[in-house]
Amino acid sequence: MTIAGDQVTYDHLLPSETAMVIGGGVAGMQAALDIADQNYKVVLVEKSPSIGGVMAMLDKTFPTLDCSACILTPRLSEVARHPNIELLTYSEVVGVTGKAGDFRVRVLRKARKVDEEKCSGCGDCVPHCPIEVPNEFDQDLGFRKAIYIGFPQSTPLVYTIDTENCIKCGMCEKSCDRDAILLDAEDEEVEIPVGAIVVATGYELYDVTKYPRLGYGTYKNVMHALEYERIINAAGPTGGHLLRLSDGKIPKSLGFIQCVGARDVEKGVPNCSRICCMYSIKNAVMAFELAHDHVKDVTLYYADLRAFGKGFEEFKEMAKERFGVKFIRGRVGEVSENLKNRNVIVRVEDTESGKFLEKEHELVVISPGILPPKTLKNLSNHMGLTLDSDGFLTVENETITPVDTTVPGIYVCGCAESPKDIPDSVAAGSAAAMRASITLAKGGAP
Amino acid sequence: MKMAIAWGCLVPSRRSLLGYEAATRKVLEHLDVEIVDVPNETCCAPFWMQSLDIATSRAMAARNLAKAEEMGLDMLTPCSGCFHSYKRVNHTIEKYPGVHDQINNILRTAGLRYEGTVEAFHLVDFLYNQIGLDVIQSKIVKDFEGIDLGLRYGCHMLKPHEILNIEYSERPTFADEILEGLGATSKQYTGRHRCCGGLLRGTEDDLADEVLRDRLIDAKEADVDALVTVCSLCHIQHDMGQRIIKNKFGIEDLDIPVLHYPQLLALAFGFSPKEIGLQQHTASTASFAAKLKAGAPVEGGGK
Amino acid sequence: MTNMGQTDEIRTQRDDAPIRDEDVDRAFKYEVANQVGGEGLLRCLKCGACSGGCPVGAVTDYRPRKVLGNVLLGLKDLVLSSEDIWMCAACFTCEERCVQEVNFTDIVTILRNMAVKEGHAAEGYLEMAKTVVEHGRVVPMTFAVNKMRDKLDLPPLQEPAMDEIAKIIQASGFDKILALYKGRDRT
Repeated sequence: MTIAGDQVTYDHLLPSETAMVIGGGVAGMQAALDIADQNYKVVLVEKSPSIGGVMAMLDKTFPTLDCSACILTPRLSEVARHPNIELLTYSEVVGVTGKAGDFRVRVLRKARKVDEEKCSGCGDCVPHCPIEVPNEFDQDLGFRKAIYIGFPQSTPLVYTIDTENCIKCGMCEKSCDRDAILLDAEDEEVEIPVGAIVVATGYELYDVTKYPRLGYGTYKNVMHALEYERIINAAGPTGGHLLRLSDGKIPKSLGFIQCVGARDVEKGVPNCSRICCMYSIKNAVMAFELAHDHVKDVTLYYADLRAFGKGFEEFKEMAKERFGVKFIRGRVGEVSENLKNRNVIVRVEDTESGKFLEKEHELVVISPGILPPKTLKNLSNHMGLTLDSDGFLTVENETITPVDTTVPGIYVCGCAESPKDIPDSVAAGSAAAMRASITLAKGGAP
Repeated sequence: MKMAIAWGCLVPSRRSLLGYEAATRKVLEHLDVEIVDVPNETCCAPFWMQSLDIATSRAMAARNLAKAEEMGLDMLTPCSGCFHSYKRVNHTIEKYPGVHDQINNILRTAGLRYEGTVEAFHLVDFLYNQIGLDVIQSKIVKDFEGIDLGLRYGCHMLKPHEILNIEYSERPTFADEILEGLGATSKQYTGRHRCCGGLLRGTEDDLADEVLRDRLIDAKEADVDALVTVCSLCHIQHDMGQRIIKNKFGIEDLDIPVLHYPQLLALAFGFSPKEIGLQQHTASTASFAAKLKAGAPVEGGGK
Repeated sequence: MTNMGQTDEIRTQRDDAPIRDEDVDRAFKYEVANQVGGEGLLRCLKCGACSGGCPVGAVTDYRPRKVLGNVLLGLKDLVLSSEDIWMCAACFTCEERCVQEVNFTDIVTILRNMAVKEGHAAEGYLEMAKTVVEHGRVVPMTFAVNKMRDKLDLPPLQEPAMDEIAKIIQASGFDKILALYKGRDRT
């Protein structure tokens, strides 16, 4: 209940028995579940209207090609239904005081303008809303209304009205049988006492428009990997049909460009992003899987292939041998467009043969590196945490305390600390949960 | 505003480049910029000279800068090669004090010294940042509506941007903005930012031809009324080189007028094609002049 | 490598002769890296971003990556005597894009300067330099030029400061470099 004037308090929570997890992606969810399963209370704060993070957007996971949503969805319900987890979605941490065992966290609960208790997620309001805007969850490729859920498994299954685009016409109000619409609701700040905090704020993609030479934003048939994920996702804007954006054609030939916004000293991102090689190989394989009658050529242009995890190297070999993905070692120089058919021409040196190639692809997918979210800097200031030169959170000791931040009682997991794939994020989530519950068990003592 | 100006070697002495100087002089005067030629200007010793001996090259570039410094003026130049040389010297002096000493040790023998206080401007950057589009637009008497231009920024005005400090070279817009401000359409096309091979002329001629061939095909496919260059080498390549490429590679219908950047401003200000040497270009500019003549003058405008 | 087809193809494309110990000058890369502009050399990953955007590479088998590779290997004689280092058009595209901030164009300048001292200067550039030394500019001032200028209402060209040029090339030692090439026929 978050109606203005009806101040919600969290006095029922005891700091000695409560932890907060900031960020509801797969790492934060794991941390929340592991803490909650030890009979501590957990307040899980998520910035967007739903938990699930980036994993909810993905089509398949590597190297097993499991359906991402199939793994994640049961977890979403588990978190939502856990008696010890209190979910604060559409909320942001704006201030932290206190110390291990006794923190006070101020959380801004953005007005969702839909009563979380009353909304059943039926969606009756949606056809009545006259406003249509690009859906961020679909990387702006699909559309949503001003009253929306980003995706069908949205958790909690509660609609949100986006204040920026809502014209307050009141149509949703009229269409709602349960009187759940609260058009006049306002943002509200609450203070929550907790004994330990886990930061799991995830990542954002490198802005690939900073590489004009690769044509993103200029050429219609150049997209980035997360857009591709949504395109090939059955719940995405094309219903899982692989097609290119200029004319809706199924591409016969695809090119994947690696190391964009990663390992680039000139662009200020010297670090390896760790996940791009594998997610791109997976995406390359998926092109064959989805449209094997059409797709004839899938080429991946890389600087070095880093297939370091369990089953990764084998997956790469399978992509090469069984699916016929072509691997060309060479950082792409530039791309241009064939004006006649809107195909994308990739200029690259195959550094293994020394050949200069001009390869025409019907679709090119750029694989951006990952960065800490821009908001992490602010959040770390609130908490007195420090950031590394790459912008990710600093940990006490990378070798023996890899989830301990520099502030006692505050832990970190997932990509807030460094780029990680899903298994590593989950493992870090469990680790941070254990460290946080030790803090709680010891009443804040280190 | 008063500026020292270095014209470079090619601009004031090549038939097809003289229009660059003529148009620059007219445009600057029209915009109330006073210019003083660098006294007894010598070669700025650009990249080809750096290739032979970088120390000599730096000292030669610093010689012209020293002369501007004596006059207490900043340096303007329409030549991208000169601009690059001057910017590079300034950058090197700032970053490597030892090199500064080395330059002055050489200059001293010629009775010169360069402290490093002269700021170098490329004409196009100067027009955009120091004069401004509003002032330029207030002087327009001829509208370029319906004219499609293929602008070539060239290499040496922009790259590397850390040294030249104008605009990020992969996505420059400033020179387009002025052309669009004249009413023309500045077309984006493939190969627009790729090198023309100008610096290979004279030492790797076949290679210079091959690189140029690709650029001219790009321009032809872009279907523009004229190419616009800001660099003397770009102009020599695209203008004089067209006939070579046509014959050597058997490319038909290659007749693209190639104009110097300030020539467009001069035309927009009401100067005649003849005054600014349009007839001196190797590739005929007649089709462009004719299309321009057909366009209507701006109402109420006057030179 | 498991894909045999790919391996065979690579092998037939490679024209590199085996490198012999006596061809390797281990100090060469440091000699280059220690000069102004050469600092980035040792950071090169040979990723090929330079070659992929090279306008000369698009029409020939010139590869900036290969030049850097040979410098890093220490193949001093090969690099300094090869035509490759004279094929760079100095467009600075690779320098602008290099992910490791290797200033390739500056490194080419360093290599060319070294090659010049060993007698490998490109004739075309040498001719231009001689013209500058004799006339102060790349294009000598002539009566015809001034006549053309007059027609366009342009002032006559100034006399370049020849005395200053003469002193500069003497002090920089460039006159000695030119002397190295004296009497050499144009090929």
